[in-house]
Amino acid sequence: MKPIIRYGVAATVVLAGTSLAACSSEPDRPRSNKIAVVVVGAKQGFGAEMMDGFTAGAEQVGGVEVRATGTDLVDGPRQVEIFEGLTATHPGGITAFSFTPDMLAPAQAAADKKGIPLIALDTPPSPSSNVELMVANDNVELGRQLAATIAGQLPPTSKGTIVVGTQSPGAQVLDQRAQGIRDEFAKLLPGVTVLGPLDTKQDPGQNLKAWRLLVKANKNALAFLGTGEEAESLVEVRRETKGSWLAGAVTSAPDALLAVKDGDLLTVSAEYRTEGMVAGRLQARYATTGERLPTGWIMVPGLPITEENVNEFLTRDASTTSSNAWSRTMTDTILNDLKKYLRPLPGDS
Amino acid sequence: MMRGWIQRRRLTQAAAIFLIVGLFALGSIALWSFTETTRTAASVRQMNAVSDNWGLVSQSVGLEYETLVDFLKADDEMGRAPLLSAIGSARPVLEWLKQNDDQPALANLDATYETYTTTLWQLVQAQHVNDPDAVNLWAQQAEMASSSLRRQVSSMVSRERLSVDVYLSKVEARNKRARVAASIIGGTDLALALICTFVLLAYQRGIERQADESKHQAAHDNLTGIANRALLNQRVEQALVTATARGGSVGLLLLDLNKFKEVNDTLGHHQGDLLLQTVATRLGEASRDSDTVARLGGDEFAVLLPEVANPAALAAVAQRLLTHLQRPAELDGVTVDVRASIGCSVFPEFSADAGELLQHADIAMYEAKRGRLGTKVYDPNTDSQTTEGLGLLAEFLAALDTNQLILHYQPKVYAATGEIAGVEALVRWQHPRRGLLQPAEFLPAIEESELVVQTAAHILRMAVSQARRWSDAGLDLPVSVNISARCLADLKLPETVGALLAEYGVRPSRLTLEFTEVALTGDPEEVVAQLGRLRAYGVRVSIDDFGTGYSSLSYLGTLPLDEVKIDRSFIAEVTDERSHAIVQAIARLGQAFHWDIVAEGIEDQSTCTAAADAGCTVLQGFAIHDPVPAEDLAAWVAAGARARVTGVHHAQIG
Repeated sequence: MKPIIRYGVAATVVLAGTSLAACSSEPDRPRSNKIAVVVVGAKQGFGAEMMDGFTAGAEQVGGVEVRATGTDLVDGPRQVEIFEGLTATHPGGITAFSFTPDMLAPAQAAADKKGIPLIALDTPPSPSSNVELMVANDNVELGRQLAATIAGQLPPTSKGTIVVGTQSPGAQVLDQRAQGIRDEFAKLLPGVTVLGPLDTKQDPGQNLKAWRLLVKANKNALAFLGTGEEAESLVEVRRETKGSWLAGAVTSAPDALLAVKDGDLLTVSAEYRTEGMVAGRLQARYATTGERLPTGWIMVPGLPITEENVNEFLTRDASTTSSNAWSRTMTDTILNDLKKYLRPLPGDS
Repeated sequence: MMRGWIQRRRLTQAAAIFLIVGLFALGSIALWSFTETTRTAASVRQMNAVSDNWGLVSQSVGLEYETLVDFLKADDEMGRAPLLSAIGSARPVLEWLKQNDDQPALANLDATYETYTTTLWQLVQAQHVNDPDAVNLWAQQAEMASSSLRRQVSSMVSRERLSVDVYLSKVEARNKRARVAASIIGGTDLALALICTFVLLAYQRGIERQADESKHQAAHDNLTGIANRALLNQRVEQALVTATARGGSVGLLLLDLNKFKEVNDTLGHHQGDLLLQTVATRLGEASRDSDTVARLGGDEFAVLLPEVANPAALAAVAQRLLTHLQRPAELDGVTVDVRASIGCSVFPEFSADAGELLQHADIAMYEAKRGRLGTKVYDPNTDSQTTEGLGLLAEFLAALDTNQLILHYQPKVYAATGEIAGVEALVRWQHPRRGLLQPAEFLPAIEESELVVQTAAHILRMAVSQARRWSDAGLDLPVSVNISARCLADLKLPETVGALLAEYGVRPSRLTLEFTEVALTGDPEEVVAQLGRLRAYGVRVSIDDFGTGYSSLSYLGTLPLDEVKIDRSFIAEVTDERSHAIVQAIARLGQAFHWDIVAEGIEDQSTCTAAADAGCTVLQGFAIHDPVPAEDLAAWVAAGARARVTGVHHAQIG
């Protein structure tokens, strides 16, 4: 190589190196064995399952102090407060499930600056949060699975209306499920019109009223589907109206499983416990061994529940031990073949 | 020094390349920044447009809900009319958003709005058929759809605002990195620019210094450090202008070393250079500060005296210079006598300008050299003769080309038998105007010139070709040819001699090359080697004028010789007891070394007898025979050289 070319290459490399050095930095991450999960809807099935799963996953690793906490119902502002408190007491890692990720983002970004490893659970994190790992279902896929399950009970040439309700309109997760439901029906039952998603309210009493009204207003509808845990209301309305329409929801609550067994409901399990367990295990590993968190979205597949397979779920959910054992198998499967389940974060691909 | 320059050049190259790359990087960052700003502005404008439209959707949905409430409360068609106008009012905006916003949730919202619109129309229809229960039912469903829509829109607006924030944060982060990079690169470039500036300033100083040195070198002689011809000419012109203005006189001395070529050829160029430096130093010492001492080239020097009273004063200065100059010089352990000739010319006496001043000094110098005068002031009366002398070389060159040189041959005989031992070739110049010129009239000038080697080769060719012709005629006459010291130093001489002998088919032993003893006083090793190379061709080597030099006996013993010719000054007095003893000693030395001892200058019988008695084996001189043309010699030999020689010998003896 000629000297002049050598100098030119060297200059480019040095300047490029200088520029890159100026453009990148990696915060040092302190390690602590105190980890936590914070959810919304801790008293609701999905939140409780996430917390249980997280705790079990962390304990499977061992050597960590785990705190599982959250708001009873979906309460974004309160969740932010709890999260900020955890950044002081549990710097070993914090996993958060939120219906309002944008609201939580500043607190997450601040925690990231402190070097606390973060995981977003079930809901995509806001881009400004700097959270680089999400453990979640593919909610569009969950909606598709629910729609496919319902469509499997109807003739392909069906015509009529299917009503979709959501307890929290604007919540990304539930909106995505509604989107998946509509897309799948458009594919499988093109003669059907999907209404909604309509606001069916979070409060159980209001939710029941909402479904009663929708059933009355759309008496000829083929099916009524909730994007979240609305099985209780739907089943009650179906039973009191002795309706022949199909009811569907995304849940694996015990009452819902019994309703499936009775033929009053079709449902898809989001496997919140498994989501929590995967996150708990990863946080604990980081806290104890320094094993870095993967980057991207670990996709936990949902499971359709029908009359045919509902007994398996009933058996599984007969106790916390059996539920954890089920989820542990799934967690092992996912983490042992992480490449298969790891995707880019939504918006990063 | 050189290494320093090279390193500095590399430093400059590296700094310049880094600087260029740095500037390119800065330019790239600036371009990127400009592009980024433009793109950011466009993106923000687009995002604002999207946000504005989401705001419009929110307004429309809210308006539709308010008109729904009014519809339900209204008692007449007029009160219900606004709802009819409001239904679907968000549709065009939603269509625009579908084209311009890539939020996935938009499809969901679009479907909900469709449900809302459908529900409202169902409500209107129920009102139209006056079915209050249905109206109430659809109103509640519409409220659920409206609630869903408003929350979705609120979420979308919030998400859009967040998108803008995130986008701007990213832009800000990128800009911050670019600023840091630009600062670092800019700082580096500044440092590199400073380095380049310093190096360039150093270059400039170096170039100026080099220019000064070049200017000095252009005006001065590299070897001696004194002025050269160009500077002398310049100073002469200045001096003449000044002298003309003041009515003064300018003197110019032109100096040429005597025998410098011999010093150069025999002692080597290094000693020659040392001699020139010594001369320059001495001239400087003997000159005034206002004078200019210059070397014109070779062994020619000049001294310019800007102010001189008259030619006599200049002559006195020249004599003083010559006296100071003509002292033995020690050249690396070798002592050399310095001899020179100085020509003087004066402006405005006889010399009207610089050219004439120089020319006249040259002529005077030639006169001084030719007449061995030491110094000579230009005399216009001798100018024509001198000019003639200067033309000698040109004429001689023509003489070589037109075969004006002829050889006469003087026989040498054995002292014991009187038989002819050989002949010595002696050159004559048959000048077309001046008649037959003897060697003394032209050879000294030739030996001082560059023609000497060419002339020797020419004479050798004539002698060897004559030997061939004699041989063809049945005469076996060895021929001797005199070779000058400068020709001995010519490394091609043996090759030239060998080629001539081969060309004419003459046996090498029939050619003897005679060198004067002075010619053999050069570098002993080179002399011995050169003589050895000549003898390797079979040529005989003779030392001429022996006794005039200062050769030591030990040095003499190392020389590969065949013959020694005792100088005629000894032979002329060989009848004296002292000279006889010297000749006898030389003869015995020759006998010991198996040399032929030649006594030249045999002018009479007594000299002949004394030389023979002293042990000289070969005799040469007018008493034996004059130098004669080849055909006369052939006739003499054909007439019975041996008997005649003996006869002449005996006749003169008798």
